[in-house]
Amino acid sequence: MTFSIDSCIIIGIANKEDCQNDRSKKLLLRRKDKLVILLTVILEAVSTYDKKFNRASVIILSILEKTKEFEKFNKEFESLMEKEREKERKKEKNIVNFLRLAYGMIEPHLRNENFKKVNQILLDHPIDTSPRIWGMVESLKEIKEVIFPEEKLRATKNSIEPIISNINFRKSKDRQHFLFLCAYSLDTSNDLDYITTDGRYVLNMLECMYLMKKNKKFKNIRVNPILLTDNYIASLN
Amino acid sequence: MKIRKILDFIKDSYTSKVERFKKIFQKYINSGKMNTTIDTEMVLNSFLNTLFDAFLASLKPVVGSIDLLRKKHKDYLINKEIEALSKKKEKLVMAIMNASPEEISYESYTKVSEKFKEIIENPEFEENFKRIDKLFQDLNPEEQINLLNNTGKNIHKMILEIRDDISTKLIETSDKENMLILGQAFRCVDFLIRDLIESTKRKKHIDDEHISFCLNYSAVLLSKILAIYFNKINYDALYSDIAFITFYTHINNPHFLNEPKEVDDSLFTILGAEI
Repeated sequence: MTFSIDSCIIIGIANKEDCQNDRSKKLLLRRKDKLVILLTVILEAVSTYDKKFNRASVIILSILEKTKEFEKFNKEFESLMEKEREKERKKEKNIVNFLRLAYGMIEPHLRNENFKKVNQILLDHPIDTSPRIWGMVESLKEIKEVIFPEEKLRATKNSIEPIISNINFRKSKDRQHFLFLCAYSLDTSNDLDYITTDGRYVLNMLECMYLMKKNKKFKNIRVNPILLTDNYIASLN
Repeated sequence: MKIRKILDFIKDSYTSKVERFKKIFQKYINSGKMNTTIDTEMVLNSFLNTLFDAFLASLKPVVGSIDLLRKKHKDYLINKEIEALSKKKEKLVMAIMNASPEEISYESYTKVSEKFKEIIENPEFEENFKRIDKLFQDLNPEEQINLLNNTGKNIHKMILEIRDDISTKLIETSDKENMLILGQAFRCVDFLIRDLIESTKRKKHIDDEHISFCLNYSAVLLSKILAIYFNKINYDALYSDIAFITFYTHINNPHFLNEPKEVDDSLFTILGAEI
């Protein structure tokens, strides 16, 4: 048996404060079979980190733009920064933690008003750091195979796609990831558990699997969508 | 300084570009930020020629080593071809963009060279590229390797210059996120070029898939940046390329990445579940 995980689980592993952190880690430690991951799923997790850090940088740079000429620069900056943090905290999906991280990194240079260094850090930090997410997954469980969206796999994926064209996935990337895994399962005759933390995604995939089973050409696709829950983790004991 | 840039901008642009500039100009006046705001588009415009030169040099490395050709008294030949291709730059960029692989992976990008060949054989550019290729083929294998290495160093300098400019303008720009993405995309091009420089130090012959990957992906990434300038794609489209190249660099050339001071799990505790 083989299993794969989606980007929510990779992020869940990387983020200690994520509600999925514990479950995601247990999943990797308790599944004894082969872990395969789509390259595009890893890249999605990396991009997420970059995007969020950039959003935090934009907030910091906007405050700098307003305050850098002020005589009491540091005081003004601090006060506006606090206001922005408060604004962020009120948002449901906020980036307060990213603001805290970015601020922590640039703080010594802000004190010296070394704006060149501040800019350099904000520009470079995400790409210096985000690819290390991969290592965090590997520290828990070896990734036996990274699935590359090569030409042959793409061709198989494209042949499957029309069958599920009526199923509406919330994110187009989710559809693509699922289709690639179906193509991988078909090409390699592998049974594959695909585990996610998104219930709606699981329902969409189950609908797709139902349609595929009815089609002679694709009835051998064996992707089994699984929702990561405490019950599921308990069942792995 | 700003007036000079505005004049350069008008001089170098086509009529449509001037129209676009008028809109930007109007935007600054309306927002009362004429003296403080720098648009990403203006930054790209001020480096348009450098950007196009770097793109051409990735596509045909001999273009990036005019200094070497000067020693052979052949620089006038390459300059003539660059000038001719510059007149068709939008068409060339779009052709490369259309040849870019749909999916992002090492394999799909190594295959891109076959599609590039078709573009180069397109009647519109064929004669220019044939003459450029001839200049390269006239060199012996050792000279070819030296030229690739030299071109890599020249592109690296170009990218550094652009990145420096982006870095100094980050605070004042009106579209900060786009400027950040742009700076990060240029750093990714630089990763590939440094990879090329290191590879050519080691290799004895140029028929190498890895060198081809570095050059082709640089060309793809630079063509995407140029396509942003021509309003064909948006900045967000670069995020997946940035992720792929940084990930590739992390695996193959981790020494290119700066080691974050606090490399531990705490860096990632801030990563939320939202995508």
